Amino acid sequence: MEQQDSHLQSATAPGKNQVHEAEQIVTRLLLAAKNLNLYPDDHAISRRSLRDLHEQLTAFINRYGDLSLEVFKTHLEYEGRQLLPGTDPEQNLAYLCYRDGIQWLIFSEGISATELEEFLKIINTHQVMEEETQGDIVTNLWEADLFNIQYRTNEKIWQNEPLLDLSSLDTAPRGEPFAAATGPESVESTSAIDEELWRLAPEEIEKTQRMAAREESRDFNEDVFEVLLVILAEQRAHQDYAHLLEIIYECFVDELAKGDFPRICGFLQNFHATRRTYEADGHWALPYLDDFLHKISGPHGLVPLNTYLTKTYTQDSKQLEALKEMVGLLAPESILSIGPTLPKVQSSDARQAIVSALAGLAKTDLRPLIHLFRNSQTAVAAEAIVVLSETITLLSETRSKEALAVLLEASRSDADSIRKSAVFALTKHENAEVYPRLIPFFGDSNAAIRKMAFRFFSRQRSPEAETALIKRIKKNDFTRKDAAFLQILYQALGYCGSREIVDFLRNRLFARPLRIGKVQALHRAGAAMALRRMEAPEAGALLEKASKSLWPTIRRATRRAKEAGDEL
Amino acid sequence: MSYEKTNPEAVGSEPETPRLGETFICHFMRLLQLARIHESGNRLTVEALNNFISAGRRLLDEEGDEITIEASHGRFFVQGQKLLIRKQSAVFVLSLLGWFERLGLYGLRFNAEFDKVTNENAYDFILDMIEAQNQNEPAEWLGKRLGEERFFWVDTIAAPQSEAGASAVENPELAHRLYSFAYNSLKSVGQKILKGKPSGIRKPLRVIQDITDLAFVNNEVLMGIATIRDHDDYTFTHSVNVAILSICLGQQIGLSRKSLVRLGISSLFHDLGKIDVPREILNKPGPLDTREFQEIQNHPLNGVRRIIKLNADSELKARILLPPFEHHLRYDLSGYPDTNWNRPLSLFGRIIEICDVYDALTSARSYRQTPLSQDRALGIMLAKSGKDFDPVLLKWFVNMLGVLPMGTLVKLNTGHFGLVYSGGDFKEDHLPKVLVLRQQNGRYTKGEIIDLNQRDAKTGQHSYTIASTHHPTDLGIQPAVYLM
Repeated sequence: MEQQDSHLQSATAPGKNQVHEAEQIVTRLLLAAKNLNLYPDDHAISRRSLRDLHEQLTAFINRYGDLSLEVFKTHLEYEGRQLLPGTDPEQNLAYLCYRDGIQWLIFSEGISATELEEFLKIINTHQVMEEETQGDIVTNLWEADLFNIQYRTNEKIWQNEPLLDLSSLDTAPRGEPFAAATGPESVESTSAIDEELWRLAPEEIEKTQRMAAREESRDFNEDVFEVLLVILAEQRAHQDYAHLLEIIYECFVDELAKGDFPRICGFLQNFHATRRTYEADGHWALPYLDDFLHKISGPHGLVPLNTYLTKTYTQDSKQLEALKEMVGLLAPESILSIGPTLPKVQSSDARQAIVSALAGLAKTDLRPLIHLFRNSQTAVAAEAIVVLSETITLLSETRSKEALAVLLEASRSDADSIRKSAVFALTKHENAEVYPRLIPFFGDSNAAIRKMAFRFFSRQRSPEAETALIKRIKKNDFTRKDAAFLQILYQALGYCGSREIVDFLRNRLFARPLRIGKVQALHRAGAAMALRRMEAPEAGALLEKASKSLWPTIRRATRRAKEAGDEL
Repeated sequence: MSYEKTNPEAVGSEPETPRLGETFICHFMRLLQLARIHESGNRLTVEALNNFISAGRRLLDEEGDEITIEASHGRFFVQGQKLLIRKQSAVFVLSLLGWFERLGLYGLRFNAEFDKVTNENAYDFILDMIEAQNQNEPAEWLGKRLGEERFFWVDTIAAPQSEAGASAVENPELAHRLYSFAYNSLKSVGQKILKGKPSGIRKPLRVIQDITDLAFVNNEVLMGIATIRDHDDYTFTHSVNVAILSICLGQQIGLSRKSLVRLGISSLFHDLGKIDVPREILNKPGPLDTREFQEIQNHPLNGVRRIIKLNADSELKARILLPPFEHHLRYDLSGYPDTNWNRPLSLFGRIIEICDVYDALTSARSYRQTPLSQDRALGIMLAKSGKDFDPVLLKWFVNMLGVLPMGTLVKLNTGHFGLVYSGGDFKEDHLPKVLVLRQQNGRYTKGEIIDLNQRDAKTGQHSYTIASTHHPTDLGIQPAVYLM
C-alpha cells in the first residue's frame, strides 16, 4: 500500500512554481471580483483585471492542466497546499463557497473570460447571505451552467436535516382496517386496456417535441398578466394586493423592454375593466390599482419605453397603433415621463403616435402637460406645445381657453422653437381671439414665424382677420422703423379682406400728403399693395386711377405695388 | 453497468482495487496533462508513460483479464467499483472525470493485451484522447480510432441503453436523501408561511436542481422513490411525489434542464394554497358541504398568492405561478377555480395535472380510504383522456411508468405477493420483473427478483403470471423501502 501511495505522490506532487502560480491566480480572482463589484462592467479597470486573470489562468491550465481548488472554511487548497490563508472570512472566496456547500472548484481548459466574469458576478451577488433568499452561489452556478467552471458540492446545507424514515410513514389512516383494495370492479388495469390507447404514434412524438420547444421560449409575462388579473378580480385580502401588483409591475416593465405593445394593451384594457368594476362601488382595492397605474406611468416604469422610442425605428402600422393605444391607457402623469423623450424619438411615425396619445391623456388632465411645458428645457417645452396644440382640438370650449392661454404664454417665449410651436399651434385653431394675438408675429425676428403668421392671415378671405388687421393699422402708432411690419399688415389685409375694405384702402392711397405726416408714404404704399393683392375689379380700377394721379407719390406707390412680391 | 457491480455496499469490500484503480486514474490524468505539453521523448512524459503502464499492469495482475473505467453519475467506477474521492487524488480524479464528461465518454476498457503496450502505443492513445476534444462527436470519434488495430489493447465502453433503466436500485441513497430534503424544505416553507414569516426558496431550489440532475442519469430510481405515501402529512409527500413525477415526465418529453427546474419548483409548490384550507376540511372523512368545497376550490388561487409572497425574484415567481393556478382546471377547462379563464392549459399545467391526479388516486385519502392500484389509476385516467388530461402527455406518462408501474403490488399465480420492480409494456416477452415479498414474523422482507418473461422449459408457458394487482396499502407497506 505504501508503495502505491508513493506512486500516487509522484504523480500528484506539484512543483513550487506551480503552487505559487495557483496562488497568484487566486489573488487575481479576488482582485477581479473586487473590481467587478466596484466599477461598472465596461470600466477599464474591471476589464483589465478580468483580462489579466483570464490570461494567467489560461497559461496555467496550458502548463499544468485543470486548476482544481479544494474549498475549506478559511482557505483554498491546491494539490494539498493552502492558498492565501488568513484572508478576511467575509471577503474570502473560500468562505463564500464553503458556506454554500461547494467542496471543489475546477477551472478547465477552454475557459473564457465571459465564463470567468459570470462566475465572479455570481460570487459577488452572494457576498452576503440573507436569511430567506431565492438561492445561493450553487443554485446560480447551476443555472449559469458554465462549461469550463465545474464545481462539486457536499451536503453542508442539509447537515441538520433528518432523513425520512420510510418505514414509519403511514400509508393509510391509523387503526382503521383496510379491506383488500383493488379498486372499483369497473376500472380496468392498464395491462388489460387496448394498447392503442397509450401507445405513442410518431406524429404524437413530433407534436410533443413541438410542445416542448414552444415551452422553452415561453413568455411568462403573459401568464402573469392573465393569472394575476384573475386573482385581482377574486382578491379579498388587502395585504396581498401590493405583492400581486409588484409582480405585475415587473412583468410590465419587462414586456415594455421587449416592445410587445399589443400584449401590454391587452393587459391594460383588462386592468381598466377591473378598475371600472371597482370604481362603481368604491371598492377598497381602488387606491391600490390607482397607485399601480401611477407607478407604471412614472419615469422608472417607462424607462424601457423611452429607450425603445429613442433606439428603435419602426413604421409597422400595427405596432404604432398599439403604441398609441398603450400610452393612451396610462395615467396622465405619463406625459411627464414620456414627454422628455419626444425630441429624441427615432421614428416620425412613432413620434406622431406618442403626441396623439399624450394629447388624449392631457384631455383628461392638462396639468402634467402644462407642468412639462413650464419646467422643461426648450426642446421638450416646444414638444409640449405640439401636444397641447393637438389637445385643444379634443377639449370643450371652456377647457380649451385654458389651453389657449398656455399657447399664448408660449408664444411670448424667447426661444424661437417654442414660439414657432406656439404660433403654429395658434394658427391651427380658428378663433376670433387668435387673430389679434398673431398680428405681432408679422414683425417676429424669426422669418419662419413671420411667414407662418402671414400665411395664416393670407390663406383666405376672413372677416375676423380683416377686422383684426384694420384695427391694428388704424392704431396709427407706427414709425418709420415699422415700415416692413406695416407692409406685411397691408399685404395680409389684401389677401384676407373683403370688398368692404376698398374704401379704407382708397383713403389711405389717395390721402393728401400733408395730412398724414411722416408715415403717410408707408400707408400709401401698403394700401397700394393690399389693393394689388385683392384681385377685385374695384381694386384694379382704383390702382388704374392711382397710376394716373397728378401726385407723383401716389403714382410711385402704385408702380412699386405692381412690381413687388410679398415681402416678409 | 450491472447492479452487482454498482452495489454501493460492494465499494471498499475489496480494499486493494480501489487504491490501484485510484493510482491508475491519477497516472492516466498526469499523462494526459503532460502529453499536451511535451513530446513523447520528454523525460517527464516518459516517466508518466512508465507510471501509467506499470499502474495498469499492476491492476491487471490484481484483477485478471481487463480494466474497466466507467464515468457515471459524477463518479468513476473502476472495475465496477465506485472510486472514492480522496484528498490525495481528488485533483486528478475530478479532472479526468471532467475530461470524460467533456468528451461524452462513458468508459474505457483495457484488456489483457495491455501487458504488451509500449510507451509509443500509450502515447498515441493519449494523443487521440487529446485530439478527440476537437471533434464534433468526440466519443464516437475516439471509439472509431480505438477500433484501429494498433489499439488492440483498449476500446471504449458504450453507455448502457438507459443507464438509469438497468435497475431500480441505482442511486437509492441519493434519491432517499433528495426526497427527504425536498420534503423538509417544503414543510419548512409551509411552516414559515403559516407563522406569517417570510420564506425564501433556496433549499427547495437546490434540491430540485439536484433531482433534475438525477433525472438525467437515473429516472427510474426517482419513480421508485415517488411511491412513498404518508397519510398523516399527505400534502407534503404528495407535493414531492408530483414534483418528482413531473420532472421525470418533463425529462421524457425532452425539456431542458432549466425548464425542468422550473417545472419541478412549480409542481413542488402546486398545493401551497392548501395551507389556507383548514385541516379538518382537508381530512374530513365524509363528503364536503358547499362552503367546505369552496374552500378546497380556492386552493389554486391561494397557491398563487402564496407563491407571490415568497422571498424570490419576481422574474422567478412569474415563471412558476401559472401551473399551480391551472392544475385543477382540467384539459377541457371544466375544472376549478371557476373564473373567466379561457386560455388552453400550459404544458406544465397539463403535466402537473396528470402527476397530481395519479398520485392522488394511488394514495389513501380521508374521503377515499381505498387507494387504487397504480395500474388501475392509469386505467381511470386513460378513460378521461382528452377531457381531463392531455391525451398525448398521458400516453407519455403511461409509457414512462410502464403499464404496470414500478411499485405496483401484484399477486402471482404462485400466491406470492410482489412489487413490480422494473417496467414492461406487456408486449410479447417484454413483461416486468417482480420483487417477491417474503413474509417473516408478520413482516414482509425482500425476496428474489423474478422475470415474468421466464418460461417453463417443458411447457413453454410463462413460469409466473400476475393473478391480480393491488395497492401496497393492502399490505401496509411502502414500496420505496423495498425498491430502494
